Parts: sequence; C-alpha cells; structure tokens
Amino acid sequence: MSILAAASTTPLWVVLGYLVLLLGLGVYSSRFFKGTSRDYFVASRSIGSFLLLMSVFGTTMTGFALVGSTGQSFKQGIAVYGAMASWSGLVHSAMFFLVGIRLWAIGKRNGYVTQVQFFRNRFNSSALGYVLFGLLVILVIPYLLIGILSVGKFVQPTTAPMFDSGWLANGIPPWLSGLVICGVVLAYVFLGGVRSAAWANTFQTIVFMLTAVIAFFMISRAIAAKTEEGAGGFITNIKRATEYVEGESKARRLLVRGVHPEDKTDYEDALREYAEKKSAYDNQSEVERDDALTQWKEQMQTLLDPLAEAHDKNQDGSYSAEEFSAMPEADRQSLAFALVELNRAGEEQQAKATKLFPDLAKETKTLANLHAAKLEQARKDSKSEDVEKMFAAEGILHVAALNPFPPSEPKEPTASMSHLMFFSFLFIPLSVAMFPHVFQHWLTAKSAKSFRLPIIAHPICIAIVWLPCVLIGVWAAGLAAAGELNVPTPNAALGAMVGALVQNPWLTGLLMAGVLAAIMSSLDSQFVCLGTMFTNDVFLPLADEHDYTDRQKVWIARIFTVVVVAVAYGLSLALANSSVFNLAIWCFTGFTGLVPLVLAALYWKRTTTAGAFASIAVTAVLWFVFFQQSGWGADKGYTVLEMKAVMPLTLASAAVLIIVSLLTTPPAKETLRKFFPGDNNRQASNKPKQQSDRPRESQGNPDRRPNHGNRNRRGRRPRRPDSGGQ
Amino acid sequence: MKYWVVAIMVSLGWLHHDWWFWEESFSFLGIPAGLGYHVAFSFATAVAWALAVYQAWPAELERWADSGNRRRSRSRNRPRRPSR
Repeated sequence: MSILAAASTTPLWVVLGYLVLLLGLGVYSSRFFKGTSRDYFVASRSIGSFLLLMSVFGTTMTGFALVGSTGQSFKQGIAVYGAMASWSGLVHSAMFFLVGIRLWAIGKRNGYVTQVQFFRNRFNSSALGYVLFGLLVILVIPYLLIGILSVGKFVQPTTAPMFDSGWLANGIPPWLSGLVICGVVLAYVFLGGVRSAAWANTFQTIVFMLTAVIAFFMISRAIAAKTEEGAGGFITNIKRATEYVEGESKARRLLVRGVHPEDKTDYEDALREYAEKKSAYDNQSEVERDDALTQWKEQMQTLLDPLAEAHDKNQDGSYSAEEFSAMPEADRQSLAFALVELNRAGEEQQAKATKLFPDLAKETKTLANLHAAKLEQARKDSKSEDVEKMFAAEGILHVAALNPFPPSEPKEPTASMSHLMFFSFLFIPLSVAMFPHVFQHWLTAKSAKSFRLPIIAHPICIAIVWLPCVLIGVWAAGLAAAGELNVPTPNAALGAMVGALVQNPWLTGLLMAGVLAAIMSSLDSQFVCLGTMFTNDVFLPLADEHDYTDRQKVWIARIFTVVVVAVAYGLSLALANSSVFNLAIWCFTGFTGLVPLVLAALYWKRTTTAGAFASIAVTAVLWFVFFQQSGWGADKGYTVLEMKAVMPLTLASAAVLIIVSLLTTPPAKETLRKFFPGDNNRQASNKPKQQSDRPRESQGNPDRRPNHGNRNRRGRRPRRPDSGGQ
Repeated sequence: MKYWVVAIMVSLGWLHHDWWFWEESFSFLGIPAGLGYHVAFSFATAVAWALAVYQAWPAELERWADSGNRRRSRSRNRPRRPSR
C-alpha cells in the first residue's frame, strides 16, 4: 500500500479537477489550430519564448523529476543534484544554443518538421533516414512506456484506501488510470497537434513546479515541528530539518558526496577499538578462550531465560515489536543488552539475535540506547548494598568485558559517489540533443530569439524543482534512520513524507496531480512526435506526398497518432510486470550515443554518409552489448571501466564517425550549401565578404555618409553601381 | 562563436567538479555545502548563458533562416542528388 494513501477522496477530486482543466486548456488551444499540416506539426513556427521554455522544460522533466529524484537522493544524498541537475542545467542549455537554434534555422529554411528529414537530406541518403527512424522509434517507445506504467504504479496504491469495496477496493487499476491518461492526452493532441501539446505542457510544468515548492515548504515545517525547538520561519525550518539528519549517524553521510568527517572519526575510533580487542583476543590461550565463551553463554542464558518465561507468551522463541514495547523498562533494557551483545559477537550470534527479535534492524537506535542505559545502571548497581542487585550488575559488566569471540573488523565508510562517476553523468543530459520530441518543439519557435529565454532560464527552472526534491529525499532518509518514517522503497520517499508528515488531503491531491503533470508533459510530446514521424518519415516518402492535400496530411498524422497511443497503451498492459524500466533508462544512453552525429552534421562539413552510418552502427552494437552485460538493465550499478556506459559508448561513436568520414569521399558542396550559412552566402556572391575596409571611393559613391559595416541606415547593403543585375 | 563563450563554458565544466566541497559537512541556511554550491552553480550557469546569448548571439543564423530559398516543387522527404 502507498504511504501516500489517504482515506479521504479529496485527493482524487483534486486530480480529476486537474485533468478537466488540462483537457479544457488543450481543447481551447485547438481553436487556434489553422488546419494546415504546418500548424499541426510545428504550430506554424509561432511559439514564443515563454511557451517554448515551459514546453521544452516540461518535456525534458519526466516523473523522475519529482519521484525519482527524491528516491535517488534518499539513497545517494546530495550527490544526485550535482550529478544530474546542475550538469543538465549547463548541458541542456548548451544543446539548445549549439544544436537547437541551428536546427531551427535549417528546419525553417528547408521546411523540415522531423529530425529524420534533416539527416536524410544532410547526408543525401533515404536509407540513412529509414535506419535512423527505426532506431529513434526503438529508443522512444520504452521511454514513453515508463510514463504510462508509472501512472498505474503510482495511482493504484494511492487510491486503495479511498474505496471500501467493489472492483475498486484495491484502488484504481492500472488499465483504467492508463486509459484515462492516454485518453486525455490523445484528445488534445488529436485536435491541436503540437500547439496543444505546448499549451498543455506549460500548464503541467507550472503545476509540478508549484507542487515541488509547496511540498518543500510544508514538509520542512513538519520536520522542524518534531525537533525540540519546534517549527519557525521558512529558513529556520529548513535548518532544523537538515540538522535532524546531521544528528542521525546512519543518514548524515547523505549530506556530503565523499565520506562524512564524523563517519571518518567514528571509523578511526572503531579501528583502534578493534585493534585492542584483536590484540587481547590473540593473546588469549585456547583454554582462556573456551572459559570465556562458557561464562559468556551462561551469563546470556541467565539474562534471557527469565525474560522468556515472563514475556514470550506464544513460546516461539522470539519477541514481536508489540511484546517488546509492552515489557517493563528494566526488562526491555535487559533484552536490548542481550541483543546488542549477540549482534556484536559474529555472524552466528547475529543470526540468533535476529531470530530472537525479528525487528532488530529497524530498532538499532532504540536498542543501542537501552544497552547503554543498562550498562550505566549496572555500574551504579555494582556499588549497591543490595547483594542480589550487586551480583546481577557484576554479571552484566562481566559479559560486557568478556572477549570470547574474534572481533569484527569495522567497515570503512564509502563515498556516495566516486569522482569519475560524478563526472561521467555529464554525458546523460547530452541526450536531449537527439530527442525527437524536443527537436519538434524547437521547430515550433517563432524566431531564433525565442530560444533566448529557454537557454537562460532552463538551469533556474531545474533548480526550482530539484533542490526541494533532493532535500526532501535526504530528510526522508534521516527520518527513516531514526525509525520515524516507513519508506518501503526509495521511490516512495516523497509520498511517504507527504502522507505521514503533512496529512493534508489537498496537498496529497496536489502531489498526485504534480506527479501526473510531470509524466504527461513528456507523454503528449512523445505521442505527437511519433505520429509526425510515421507520417513524414515513412508514409509520405513511400507514397507520393503530392497526391495528398494538406488537410489529408493532417488526418493521416491524426490517424497515426491514434494508432501510436493505442499500441503504447496495449504494450503497457502487456508489459506491466516486466523490467521495461531498466530498458527505458538505457534509452538515454542510446540517444547520447547519437549526439556526435548531430553535432558533426551541423558543424563539420567533412562528415560523410559512411561516417554517419558507422557512428549509428557502433552506437547500436555497443548499446546492445553493454545492455546485455548489465543483465538487460537489471544491474543498475553496471559500469564500463568504472564509469557509466554512456561515456565510452559516446566516445566510441564520435571516434568512428571522425575516422570513417576522413577515409571516405567528402560530401558535395551543393549539399553543404543548404546546411551551412557561410557557404550559401559565398555561393550567392563572388565578391569578398568584408567591404568596410575599402576606401569609400571604391564603392562608387563618394558623397554617401559614413557607412559602418557596409550597410545603410536601414541595414541593407548599398547597391554597387557596377554590380549589374546581381 | 566567440571563443570567450567557449572558455566560460569550459571553465564552468571544470568548476562543476568541486573537489573543495566534496567532504564538507557544514550547511548554510540549512542547505549542505555541496548542495548549496551546485544550486549557486545553476544560477551562475544561467548568468553565463545570458552573457553568451546577448554577446555571442548567432544573428547570421536568423538572417539565413529568413532568407530561405525553399523549392516547393522538390520533396523534403526525397534527398536531392548532387549534380554531376
């Protein structure tokens, strides 16, 4: 059951309200649809800065932005922000600047609406177009599927307590939630194409950004309220929540990327203690060890037998958490003392301790405190005049001092992430340069200047979403380590925090809507993109596109979009229990492997068709090999030469592209002129580019006013008197 | 593109790997040092891109895009064969 689950149906109504608003906005935006294929595929290249920022940002942020980031930081701490968020801020904007604007210009100049059209014409190869189409579709579909599957996995446990009986008793089933989500998205992309997707993405992005901020505010206040000082102002609450984690020895490592200084100190102390105990143990004779072991076992039995008689009601040789809680304080201390001593005594005794108290791992802090309290009490009672108390206390102190087992060497604390791994995360955000759905959004830009705001604001938008989520994950780990929060899986951390700490059905509903918004903001772009690709990259090239009117092309795209949504929904039902999540995460690696191709196509005139084919082949082969070696994605820690597989794969793809291009015939200049601005201008005029350094008399117009940059006041080049008809 | 833009971006890439805060455990306003540095890095990235956008904007691309010479009779789905 989801920790987020709430008995009230208010969250469900909030989600339904969000879906109705989204559908309404999508349908309203379709009123601006002009009915042309150009409008359906690229919104007539009319999208301004703000909409472009919101739609591209929303498309690049999936459900991972809220749920996954919190889950990752629950496990790895603050390293997640540096590894993923701040790299993405730098690299995504770089890709928009280097790749997006250029592709927009080429797309506008040549009327392209898909990536494949660009590559097909750049390399003069229909075959390359079809190969790339196939590869891109194979990479996008798993990415799309995890969106639909995530909806089902999130909604069902969350809604389970809202229904007492009937077919919804276990919550809204995945087939229904998936159907609703796909239906809502299909409705507005069917009507308005990419324009509706852009409008919807803008709304969804605002929703999930608000969700992150509001959840952050409320959760920090709830954690601060648990501290001795209580809740205060916003900054004070954040400080107290972080200090709470700092106070937890098992969670404080998440506050640094390397090894926490206090963990280092504890390790050094434990190492010294280990050395002393080892020395004492090694210096014992065999007889002394056997004697110590016998005494230790006798004392433990003396401690445990009365407890079993008094508190093990069902006589199964173990104590439940309830039985433990019901014991008087003195007996709890005795049992805790015995359990801690058993746990320190090697693997065999640890197994006995776990059998005696199955909740041992969850209650380590409580048991450690009780163990320390028992020892403290024993030290006091050893000086008591009550003989019975004194003997009992001496027994406790004797057990603590005995050394019958070889001491366990303490484990050296490890960093949450290595330096090389931290660096290799750079390659993951490169993938945005080859996402076909992001490419389509780029083509919708009204002008190149529309890219300015997305380039500048993208890193800030990432910070607004990721900072709260990463901190919430770290705080959740602190609470879980203290036994104050139950988090069944890392990805349940955000839901657990909201459900257990805030307990506000409106915030729960907002969180549900925010998660759905993050997922759907990618889904709509992917659906419309695949419909566009099938229409323009497969159907129209195989048929004769001139046989179809513009209106018919729109309907063909709509039909393909319906088919894509239906197939994706069907696959989500068929693969509901499979490990498609593992595959989808590897898809980012595949897209990144193709990035050298797009960079070379845009900036290196020497790139040849053979080089392009070679790069694609190496990417596909290496991706398959690495994916297989990782157990088809099951090994989430899989590395190649101690770094993420994406790094060697991308470097190999780039190397092969360069080598094969240099060994094969360069492309025709006529082809290059279409894709490189300088070449086109040079072809149009044989005159030297710069004329401003010539004396004015040579321009044939000595009476003209000073002409800076060889342009008149209206920014036009003056007509040369001897230029003829050029 | 202006080389100083490239230099700033490469510098940011180098600064991203903050060895100096790798094991620092202090926090500022409740945000751990390693996390706060990267949040500040995100804002610094935005400033760097603002500089790049306004000082190294590829204006020639926009002019080139607007001066498009599309030949509508030729399909964009069938690549043009280079003339011999």
